[in-house]
Amino acid sequence: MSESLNPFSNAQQQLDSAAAKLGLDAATHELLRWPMQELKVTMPVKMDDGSTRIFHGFRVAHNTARGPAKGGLRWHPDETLDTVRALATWMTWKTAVVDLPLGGGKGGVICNPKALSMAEKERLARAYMRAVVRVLGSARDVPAPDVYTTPQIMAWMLDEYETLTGAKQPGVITGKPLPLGGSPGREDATGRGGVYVLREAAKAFNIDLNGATMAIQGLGNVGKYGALLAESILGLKIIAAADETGGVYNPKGLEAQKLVDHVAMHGGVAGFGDGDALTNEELFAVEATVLVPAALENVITEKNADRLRCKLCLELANGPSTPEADQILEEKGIAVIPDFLANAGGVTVSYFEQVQNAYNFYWTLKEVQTRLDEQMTQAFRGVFEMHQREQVNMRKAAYLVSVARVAEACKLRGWV
Amino acid sequence: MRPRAGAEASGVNRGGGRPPPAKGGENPIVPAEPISMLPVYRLLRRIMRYPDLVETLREIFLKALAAKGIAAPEGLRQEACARLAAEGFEPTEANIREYTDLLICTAFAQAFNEQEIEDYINLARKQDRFQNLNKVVNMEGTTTRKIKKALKEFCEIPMGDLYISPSEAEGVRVALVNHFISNQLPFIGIAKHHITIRDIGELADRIIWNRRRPGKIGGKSAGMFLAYKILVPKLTQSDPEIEKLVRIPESYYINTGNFSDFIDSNELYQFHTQKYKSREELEEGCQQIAALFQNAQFSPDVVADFRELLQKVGEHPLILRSSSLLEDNFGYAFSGKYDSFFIANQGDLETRLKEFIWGLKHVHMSTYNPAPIIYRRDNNLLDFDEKMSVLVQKVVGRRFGDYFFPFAAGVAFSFGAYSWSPRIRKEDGMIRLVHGLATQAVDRVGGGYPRMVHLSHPQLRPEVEASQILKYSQKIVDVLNLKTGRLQSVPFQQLAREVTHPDLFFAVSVDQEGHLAAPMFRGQAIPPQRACLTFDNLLAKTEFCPLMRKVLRKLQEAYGRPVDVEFVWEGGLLYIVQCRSLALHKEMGVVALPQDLPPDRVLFTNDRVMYSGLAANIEYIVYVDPKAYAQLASHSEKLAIGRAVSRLNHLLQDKRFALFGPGRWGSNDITLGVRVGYGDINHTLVLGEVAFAEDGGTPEVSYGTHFFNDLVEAGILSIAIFPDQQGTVFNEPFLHRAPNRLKSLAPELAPYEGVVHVIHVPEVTAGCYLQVFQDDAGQKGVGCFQASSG
Repeated sequence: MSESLNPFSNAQQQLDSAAAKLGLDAATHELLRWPMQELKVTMPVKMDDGSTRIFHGFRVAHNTARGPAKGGLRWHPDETLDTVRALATWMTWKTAVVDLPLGGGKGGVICNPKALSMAEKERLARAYMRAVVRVLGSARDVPAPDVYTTPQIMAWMLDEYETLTGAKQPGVITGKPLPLGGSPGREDATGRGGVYVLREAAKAFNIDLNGATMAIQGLGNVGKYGALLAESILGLKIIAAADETGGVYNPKGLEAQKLVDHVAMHGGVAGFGDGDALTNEELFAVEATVLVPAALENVITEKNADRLRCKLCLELANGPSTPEADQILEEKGIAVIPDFLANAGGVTVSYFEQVQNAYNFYWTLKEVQTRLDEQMTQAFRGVFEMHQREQVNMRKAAYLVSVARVAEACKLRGWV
Repeated sequence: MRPRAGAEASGVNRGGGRPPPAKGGENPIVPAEPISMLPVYRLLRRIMRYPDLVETLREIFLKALAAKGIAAPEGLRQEACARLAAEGFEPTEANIREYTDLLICTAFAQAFNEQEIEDYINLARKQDRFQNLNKVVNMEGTTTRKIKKALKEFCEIPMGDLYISPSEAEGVRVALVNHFISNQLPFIGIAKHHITIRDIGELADRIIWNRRRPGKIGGKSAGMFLAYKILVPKLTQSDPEIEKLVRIPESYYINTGNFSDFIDSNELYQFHTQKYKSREELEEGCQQIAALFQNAQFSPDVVADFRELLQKVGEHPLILRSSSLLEDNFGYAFSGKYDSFFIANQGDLETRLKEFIWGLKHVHMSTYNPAPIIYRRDNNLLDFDEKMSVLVQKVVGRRFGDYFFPFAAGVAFSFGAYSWSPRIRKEDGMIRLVHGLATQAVDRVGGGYPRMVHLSHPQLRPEVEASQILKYSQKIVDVLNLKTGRLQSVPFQQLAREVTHPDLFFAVSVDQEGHLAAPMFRGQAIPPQRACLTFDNLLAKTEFCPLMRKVLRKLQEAYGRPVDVEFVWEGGLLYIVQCRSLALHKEMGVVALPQDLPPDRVLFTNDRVMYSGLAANIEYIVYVDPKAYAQLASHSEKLAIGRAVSRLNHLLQDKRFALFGPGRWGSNDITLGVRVGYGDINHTLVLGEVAFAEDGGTPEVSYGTHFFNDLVEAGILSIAIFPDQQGTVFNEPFLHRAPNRLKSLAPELAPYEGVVHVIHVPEVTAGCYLQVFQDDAGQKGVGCFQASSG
């Protein structure tokens, strides 16, 4: 695999840049470049027809200096160890930037879940748990749903874990169904967290949100709640929205709920009647106070970054801007809230689930949302302070905050 | 009988004293010991009701006795003589004959119980009426009235447990099917084994006959009726589960004679030449036809028949389905070509009658629409004297306020030619399942997806995550609005708020913070805004799937080929609404894809293949740019693109061309796909759907919709391309860079150059052509530029 395509190499390069800026010593730098623990497993699973198939899986803990590793479990036919490593690394930075007492981890199983029956999925989930049980635990490594894994799969894994350990341990897994210790507030957590961060960013960058407008790309789960809550909590007027099917623009405003209902009914924004048609490219050039890429990666590039006319860009998607675009946006004076801060609401509520599980006491939805607000607000402030102090853009500032926190924890433990 | 002079007469059971044992024969047909005479008396009394059948009855009784080992004809004469002698009667031929008859009757009365005796007598009656029916139905110049009378006489005789032998009955069955149902030989070949004379008698009671013209009930009615008789046979053993759970809707048949009479009595003869007009003339003529039909009238006696029918049916919603002579024939499905018409059928009789008549006219009118005529032209069926019959059915469902709809409906295929996983056994069949009326399953609508169920693995589906399942679920439910009298499409969540359906437990899954699962308990609260239609509980917890597999297997066996069945599931019962042979693509076997293609020679790759196929030497590509199409601001601009495609289809009809475009071709939702019908794309070799940023779910497989059936029948290769999917190639730059030949081909279409591209492939590929390969075994396909394959 070429360097530029290797996700793990990319993750290492991001660290390298922050390490240089922080002046990390070589040992600390080297420690943070590599996952601390990797487990590769091979699992025999009985299929419905009586045959046995062999599956391969991984569980990687990148760094646990700040707390138990945290990260999702992916089931995908194209899963690779390098992808899992990279994602585990990013989870370390994500949990650190929001100042959660967690490290970074990720897991994967190479399989095609579309071709598995429910019974086979259950057997695979339990087999995976048996294979990795020795490295999991509420105080060691805590998985969650990710690509093609669902709350039901988490429930089976929890049951298997508790059978193996002989004790009730709901905190070993998050993203569980509500009746088994899942937390309320998970559904809109990512979008909601982004909106809280947006509110703080507007204050910090002196952007008046009264009468402010928003353009959003992508109305999947994250974008949908991003739009609804930006409108209801912050009073933002959505003037443009687009996705892969098309876009719509109305300077007088688009009603978020109607937009969301339209997407649910028709599978996309195209055809939403209350405005003029708009391409995705045109969306980025809309003069709106806030631009929210909430769909795909690499949509803001050196080719179109110059056309952005927003004041603030809230990255609810993962990796929507290329490094080259980042540079251009910085030069244009557009404040970018980087992805791993903006969309950290999800992992934050996962953490809250662990906390409630530990107490065996469950909060109300309002309590979850209040705490999420507090956490995201604090997280933003930490990054903003770094941005001001070091005179770097918000993305670099976020990396500096994260890496510094993790490095500090490693040092305090005497690891380096 | 005359006693012998001087001999003491003694007879059977002649009061007191035992008769002397008969001489001759060690096993007398009537034993010596006393017997009960009452059964004998009763038997004789019954026989006397049918004096013309005495001979027949004697033969039948004798055969039955012989079958039981009780009597042999030779022994009888001997015994009769012996008894005559013992009783002092002269052994004349007349006496012997009479005594023989007496012996037969006596023995018969002793050997069989009341019911069996009744059956034998009825068998004789049936044989007699059967002979009459046979004569009438095969007579040259016979009339429908005569056949009906003879049929009625036969059917009036109780069925019992004894039947006319199949070999004898076959000829009459064939003649009756030919006369009333269908004269298509493939149909008759199957029907004669499953439809009995009595079945046709029952059918005849439900046919609305025309007094002046004979007629048949048409393809759709024939298919439905045959399917039911295959599944629930009268004379042979049926599966108890199928018998318990399978029905057809209450149906009446307005046969083609009424259609012919309507044309005659209104002198609408110009319609006979309608089919020979050009497409443009057909479209222009539609308005005129509608006006003529509106003003034309059914004959008063026919209207009286309609009135009587509506009185019988009561105020129950009805569907008037086209059932033409050509429809649903083997090989030509006419999918969606003719109209069906729902009527609310509420209110006073005259209002209902008016609505009913208009519905019938509407269905009849559709015979002259461009779509079916083009279809007939394409399939060399134009010269056939097509006639329309109408199948009137009570809509199966329940009333909820103003809405009327069934719990579930759809289309089932005994062979699921499309499968997205090698685990799926195609031969177990598949289903397109919807909540509400089946129109959502068969029409290519926008904004929602039927539940696709593969019967070998009903719970396996390509969508894994909740968001994907929610996305690829049915959003709109079709219902009949009894207040407006119209079909209405209602968003599911709105319907769930307005209506508390008692069986929703079987239809939905509920999303709880990303955990999507079917309800565990009946009576569990189902918040409408969190519910989506998955049918998980129906598929997992009821006999629906096993029953469907059984039904489809049985029908396929009887047809000798795969079938497609439209059905309704309501109240735990399966209603067969329609059945016909399945339009299947030609089985290609393994299609080898070319390997090691240079990247600039590849136009596209795809990894979801509907069925294997090859389209070679394609000279033109017509490409409707999905992104440009999405940018069109107005509805009318989008409609214009549909018309442009249609025009190109016509201009390129003698060329080999492929058509690629956005989303779902033929969708009712114009934002999702170009609005075209079969006649607008029927000359293309390939119909490609380009969907950007599809992210892992299977799109609606249009398999089974009318539109898709048309593609399959026409041999058009249907392809789905997802350019944003990892590993997929879509050479969009090629399509944009190549010179656009649209203006030179059709100057009037120049305004659409930004959206519609016409590419002459050899011109831009140094003499190569587009070759398209699709392999469903490997689920891989490619379109590439190669030299002509000759």
